[in-house]
Amino acid sequence: MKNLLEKGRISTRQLAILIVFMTVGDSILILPSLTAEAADQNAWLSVILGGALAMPVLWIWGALARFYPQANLIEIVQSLLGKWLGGAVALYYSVYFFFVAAGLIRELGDFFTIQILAQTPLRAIHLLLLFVLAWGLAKGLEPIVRTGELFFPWFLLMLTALIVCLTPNLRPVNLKPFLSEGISPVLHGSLYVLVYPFAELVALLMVLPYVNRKANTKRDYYLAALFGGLIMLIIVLFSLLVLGPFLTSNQVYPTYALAKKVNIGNFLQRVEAVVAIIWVLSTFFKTAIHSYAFLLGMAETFKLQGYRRLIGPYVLLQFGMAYIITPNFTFYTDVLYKYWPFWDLTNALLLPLILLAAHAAGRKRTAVKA
Amino acid sequence: MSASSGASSSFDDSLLEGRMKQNLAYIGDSLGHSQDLVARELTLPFDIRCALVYIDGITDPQLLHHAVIDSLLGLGGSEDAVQLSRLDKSERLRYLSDRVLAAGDIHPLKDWNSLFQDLLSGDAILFADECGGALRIGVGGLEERAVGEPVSQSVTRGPMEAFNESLRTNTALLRRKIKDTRLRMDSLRIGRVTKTNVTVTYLQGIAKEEIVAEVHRRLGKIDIDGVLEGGYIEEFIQDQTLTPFPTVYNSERPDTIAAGLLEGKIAILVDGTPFVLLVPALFVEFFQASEDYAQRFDISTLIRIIRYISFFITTLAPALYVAITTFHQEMLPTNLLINLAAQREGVPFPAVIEAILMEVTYEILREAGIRMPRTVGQAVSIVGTLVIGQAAVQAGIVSAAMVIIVSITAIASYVIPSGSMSMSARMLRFLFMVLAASFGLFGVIIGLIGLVLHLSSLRSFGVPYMAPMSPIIMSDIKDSLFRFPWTMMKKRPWSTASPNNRRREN
Amino acid sequence: MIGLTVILLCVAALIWKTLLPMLRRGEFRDGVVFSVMLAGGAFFSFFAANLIPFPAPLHLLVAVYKPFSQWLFSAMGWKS
Repeated sequence: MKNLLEKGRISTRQLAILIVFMTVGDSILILPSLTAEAADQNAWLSVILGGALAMPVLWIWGALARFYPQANLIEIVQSLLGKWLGGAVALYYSVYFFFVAAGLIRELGDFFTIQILAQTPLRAIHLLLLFVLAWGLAKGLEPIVRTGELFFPWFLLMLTALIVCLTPNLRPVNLKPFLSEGISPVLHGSLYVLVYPFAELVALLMVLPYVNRKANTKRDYYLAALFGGLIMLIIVLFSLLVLGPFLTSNQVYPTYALAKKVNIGNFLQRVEAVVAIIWVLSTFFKTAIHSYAFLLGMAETFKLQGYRRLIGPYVLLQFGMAYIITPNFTFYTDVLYKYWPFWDLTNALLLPLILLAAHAAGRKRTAVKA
Repeated sequence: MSASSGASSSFDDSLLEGRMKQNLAYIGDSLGHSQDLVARELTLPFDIRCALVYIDGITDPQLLHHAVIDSLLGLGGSEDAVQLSRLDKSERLRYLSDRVLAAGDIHPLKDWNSLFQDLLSGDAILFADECGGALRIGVGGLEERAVGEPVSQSVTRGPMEAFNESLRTNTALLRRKIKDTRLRMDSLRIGRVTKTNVTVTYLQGIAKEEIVAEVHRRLGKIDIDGVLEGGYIEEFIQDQTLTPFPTVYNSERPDTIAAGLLEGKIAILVDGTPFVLLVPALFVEFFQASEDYAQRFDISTLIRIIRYISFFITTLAPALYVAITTFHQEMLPTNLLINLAAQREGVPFPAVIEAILMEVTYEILREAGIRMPRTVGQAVSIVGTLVIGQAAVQAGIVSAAMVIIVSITAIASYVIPSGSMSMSARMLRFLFMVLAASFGLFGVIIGLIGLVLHLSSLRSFGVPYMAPMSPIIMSDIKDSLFRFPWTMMKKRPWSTASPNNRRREN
Repeated sequence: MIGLTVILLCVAALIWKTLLPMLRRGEFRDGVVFSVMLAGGAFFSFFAANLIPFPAPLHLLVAVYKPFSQWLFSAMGWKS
């Protein structure tokens, strides 16, 4: 099932970088407060647990990718579920990617208008972001991935610098008491870790067929996700250690508050705007991949000639949707806390399992026939 | 046979018949009896009549007189003359070229097109009465500029010679650097009216076959009246014209071009200009200079890093200034902030207008400096920098900090070895300033993402522009950001060299 | 008002540059999808541009998952 719509090819290294960017994605903005709300000072345990729980999910996707190495998610759906059911599910997935992207755009816009550029209208930020997003999508998958490759060292550098500069502010007492309320809150927090950094990686299933498979691709796939998880662990850990569980759960953007705490020799301070660059980068790539997944998905579902022509309407759609997706920030956070994880799980865990079952059933049927 | 006129002159390709007088008349008509056209009729012993046609000024008079006229007139009653008279008339020219003429480069001609091409390129044409065809004798020799120092790319250590306008001198300079049999020189003529000589040079077996073929293909497709500079060709052969970044490298230094050839690149030499094109060109190559290899590797690595930093400074410094002073004042240390605020107290403009004003002023000064007659040049630089800058600050039009930023930006732009790349930086600077003014650092980072996206999608003759940084090719990184010692650079660049890519053994 | 004008301009530009060539080439299915998306985009952008509130699609999400969510939260004793 050679795909005619996408001719680009990605190397394993580029895939790994993409995974790290997407894992960090918007989680670096929203995850600490969600997990701290659920598990208080044990939120870091949630990250470990969530990461562990994510591995089987990644394995399921890997299995699908192995059985259908050259088909992206939509193609797999269509081939396994037939024309009408497959088409419906394909459309459903595309819409899912669309809404994730809309949420991401809104999150970034909210962040900037609340914290940094308070007088800039939200829609202007969205417009600028959409513009560069469209620019990237028009260039294609390979340039986007190469851009990620180019920015990655700087991204890591800035993260490391942030972490290093925060070490004077660590207060281990913030982590106590340990498991005072049992494992249940930790499980609660791990739900968010499972979905926001990891389950939302399902969009990568649209990109996996275009990776040049080498011997180490499989290993790097898991390693990259683990590395991204490690970054999240450090972020959540430092949030707790520096700010404390109460502030982490009540701050709108704890990582931004973290950046504010950097103070080296009374000279290197108030650098949070620079640190905001990190969020922009990681969110950008996650949004780009989801947008790409949506466009490619639409093109595949309706068997169109190409996806680039849909970029224009897509931008208009997102401009509108990023605005109306939620009337205010509180509602959005509430949804993220109580409802969205289950939608993510449906799409990342439940449906792929069904697909795998369909695949196995199909195999059995042919085996029986033979 | 009628003389035709028009944008592209064409002649009937008839064989030149042995009617000398008619041929001479035809040539005279076609060239409009131009004053520099010389037709010298000679009578050889035994009443053999010939005529020598050439264009004065583009031929070398010494060569013409000694090699051609002397040898012809010196026949006297010698053996050769006797032989000549006994030969069949149609064999005469061949005999002359084989035995009599003392010139080095002689070809027989059979059609008018090549005759005119050669005549107008500085060769002499010899006719013999009642003998078909003609001889083309290479005696071209125009006054040319001596091999001098490079004007635009100077180094602190390394050869100081540069190409000049003569194609032959330039190919000779390259031959001097590369004495290998595999050095190929394919020549073409481009330009319907100018018929400029263009030579495509590469090392056979080291340059990628596909790229060589592609270069030929693209050059062949050029359809233009005249090619006066390499830049004309550059626009036609580059992958994408809608980009501020150069995808074709140019240089007037033979050592740079030779180094490129050794890596598998293809050089395009154009007659009439000392700037030679080199393809394919990648982003990192515009930050390399030939002296990086002449000096030790640790120095070269550091200096390369400085070049990259300078590129960022020259592109982003004004934008960052605008962004920080407009949106993110909290980022500055308090003392600095107070100072800046005090400076900007009296300034009527917002930071971005200030920045744009100063940058545009600087660009104007710079352009003026290029066109200025030498005698006045000094005055302008003093006027420009000290007086305008200082006076503007004192008049309260701009703040002192802005002048500093603009100066650093300007100086940083000269650090980049390649002029084309610093041009790109100049253009991008303004875009970033606008973004910074509207969206602060967010605008800058979005602009950077957009810029990198654009760079990542560029290709130069099929090779990704940002290689070896992305896609990462570990073996090539040693020569891009850094300059590792020769012992560690064992392979030729992946992007250009064909499979035989070990530098050190064959 | 200005928002509406801008949106209409964008729509017109998109139609001209993208839809018409598509239709000319006979790619009608593409044209349909494109038009639907474009209409939706214009519709939603109108609300966004003029800051008019519109019921959030997330309400649908809430409605679908609310029962499960409430059950899970109470069963596991999670904070709400």
